[in-house]
Amino acid sequence: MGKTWIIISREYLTHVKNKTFIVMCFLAPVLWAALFIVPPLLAGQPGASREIVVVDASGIPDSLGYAYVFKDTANLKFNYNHVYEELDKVEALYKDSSGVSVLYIPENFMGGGDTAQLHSQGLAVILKSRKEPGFNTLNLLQTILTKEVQKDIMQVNKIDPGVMEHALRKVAVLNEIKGTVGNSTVKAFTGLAFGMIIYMYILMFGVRIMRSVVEEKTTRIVEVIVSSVKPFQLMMGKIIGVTLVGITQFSIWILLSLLIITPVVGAIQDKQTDLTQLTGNSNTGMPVNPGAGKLMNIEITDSTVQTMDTIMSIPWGNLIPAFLFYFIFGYLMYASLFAAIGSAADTDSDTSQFSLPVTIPLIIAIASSGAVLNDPDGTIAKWLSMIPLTSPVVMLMRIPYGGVYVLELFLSMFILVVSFIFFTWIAGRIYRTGILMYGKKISWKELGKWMFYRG
Amino acid sequence: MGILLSAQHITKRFSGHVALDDVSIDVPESSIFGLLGPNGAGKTTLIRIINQITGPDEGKVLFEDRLLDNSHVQQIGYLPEERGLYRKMEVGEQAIYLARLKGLSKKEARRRIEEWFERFEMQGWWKKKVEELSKGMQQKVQFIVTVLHEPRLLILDEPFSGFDPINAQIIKDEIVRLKNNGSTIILSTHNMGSVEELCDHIALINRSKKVLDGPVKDIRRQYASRTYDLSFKGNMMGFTNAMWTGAELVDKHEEGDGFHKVRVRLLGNATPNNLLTAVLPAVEVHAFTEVLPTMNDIFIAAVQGREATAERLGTRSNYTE
Repeated sequence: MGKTWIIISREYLTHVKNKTFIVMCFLAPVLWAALFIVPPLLAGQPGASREIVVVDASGIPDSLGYAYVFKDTANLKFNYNHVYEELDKVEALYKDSSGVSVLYIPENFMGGGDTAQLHSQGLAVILKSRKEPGFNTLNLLQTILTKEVQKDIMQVNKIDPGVMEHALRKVAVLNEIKGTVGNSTVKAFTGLAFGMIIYMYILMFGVRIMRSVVEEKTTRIVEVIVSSVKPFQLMMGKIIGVTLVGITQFSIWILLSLLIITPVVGAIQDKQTDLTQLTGNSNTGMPVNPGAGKLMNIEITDSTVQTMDTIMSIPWGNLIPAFLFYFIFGYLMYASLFAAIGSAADTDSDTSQFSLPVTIPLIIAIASSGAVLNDPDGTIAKWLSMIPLTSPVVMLMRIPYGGVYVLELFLSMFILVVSFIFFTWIAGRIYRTGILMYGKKISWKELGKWMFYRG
Repeated sequence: MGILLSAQHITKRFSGHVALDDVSIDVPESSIFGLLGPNGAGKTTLIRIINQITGPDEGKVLFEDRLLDNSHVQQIGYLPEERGLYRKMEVGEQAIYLARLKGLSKKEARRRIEEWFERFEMQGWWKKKVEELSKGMQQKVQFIVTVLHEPRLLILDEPFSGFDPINAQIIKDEIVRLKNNGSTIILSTHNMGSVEELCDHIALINRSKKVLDGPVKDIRRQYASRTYDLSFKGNMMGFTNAMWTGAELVDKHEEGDGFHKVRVRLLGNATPNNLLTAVLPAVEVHAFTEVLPTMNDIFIAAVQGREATAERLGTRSNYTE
């Protein structure tokens, strides 16, 4: 163990002192944070300010017309100075200003008086711009006009807006499992997150072990080392060393991500609450569904409670120990396979031939996540959570749903441990022979023979 | 002189071929033992078995009459033919790492490395990365790493490859010094000149079998083909006429001023004295020496068959002895 420990510490220190490691430690959380922060920031950010000149050719009288329904927003200014002028003239007036759009309500625009069923020309306006006005602008105009038209239609048909609101409510389907109403999205997300962590970790650090083995082989230092320690000690030392590097890296990532994300997300959430209150008051949002604002609020509180309930209902007592278990054994099993692959190769590029069969089960596990999450106790899910090469990822997707029997879980764990021992043994034997083979094209048959050489 | 290491009836098979077939060697303590053989003969396999990198299918290895086990790792130093260092690791750090794997403490390793660096005048290399060193410099580091833990048995596989003549000489001197300090050295090399120069004993492996072993002196005598070089002053015709039927002239060379140098092989039961008695009346003999085969000759003879070499020896026209 003493010598294995020396190998572990060298492996660990070499990787940790590596520039790539240090850069990745700090860069990844920043990128992660950017992923969380940038889109909401961009969404909340007012775009370039734009002036919209309204031209109304519909001939609908002012009291019923649509020219004056718009109100200025943070980045949109409505210009009502040319409402009844000729379109050509107005366009000519602003032909050099790229920040100006002309909203043209054409002669055939009928608004609430339109009786056609769908997408009628009587309900189309044109926004003429020299530069793309952006999705938000178009959306806002559509929302406001639609709302006005709906109001007019209700008025014409003598419908009470309250009745309309009442009629447009949705029916809720509550997902109650064992007495708790839960939210399957939260469960799916939890399972997927845990599965993905294992998947990413195995791929990233498994490949790193493979590289490290190939490096020792190509630099020819390996024979010097195995004259001092057993090849199996060297292999395990490397695997454990790189594992610790991975755990260090992940810990730093989680810590830094939390440090960066928490305050910023908090700030954004505050800002968003302000915004909802604002839009709630000014009553601009919510197109098709007039009373949606109110309804949404109810839904939000409901789903928050549901989410909390769901999070509480996830069997964390099973999930966390299972995660650690599957993480450790799944990773070690794959790591030894990657080490064996590295030992059979002469150069980095040689590894691809042999690494594909090892990565395919992992990819299958992730690719079938849709099927597993859709039917967490279905046949596919059950089988994949038993097969040791996929179980570390798939079982963790299933556990949050709470449908895994204890016996099933133990059987899967047992299979994994047995396979871990078996694969590590095989890998050790391949490794032992492979590291001393130079300049030979290795076939699968050859690999098979290595398993039976006497130590 | 006791036997430090004894490999007995070692057989090792790989799928499809036998790498070693009943090979036995005895390595005497405080000596340099040459392990010779053509490429692919099985030398590296034998060395790996002695280093416990791989195990024999049959046979056993004894270290001071005890079956080889893990505790012997500390007592053996191994410089493989295929050797290298971590390219991105600093020289000093790397040497300490490898020494620790051989059981030295960090402190002790550092002290000894500093000592060796001083001896080889490489004090400034400590913080250098291996990739910044020339091949010869890397070989020096490698040699130091091999001997650092003061092993009782040193196994050097082609130790001179990658060295220029000056550094090769430094390494040769170190090997002799280590031997004089009590170390036992197994030297595997194709450089027959250094075998003659350094080795006390040799074993020659060809096609998985040991074909020859023993002290270098005995082997050379054993391979002597009763050939002599003789220098004389006088008439060449007179010499050949006087040379009696018990000998044949293999080669002749005129040195000028009536001096001649000839190579003669004795035939049948003839002795050197018979030859001298016959030619003394005809010419004035200045020198008379036996021609012993070089290790190179013996190597080729043992590998290709004895006759082929006797032939080769007899017709050589240049005098190396």
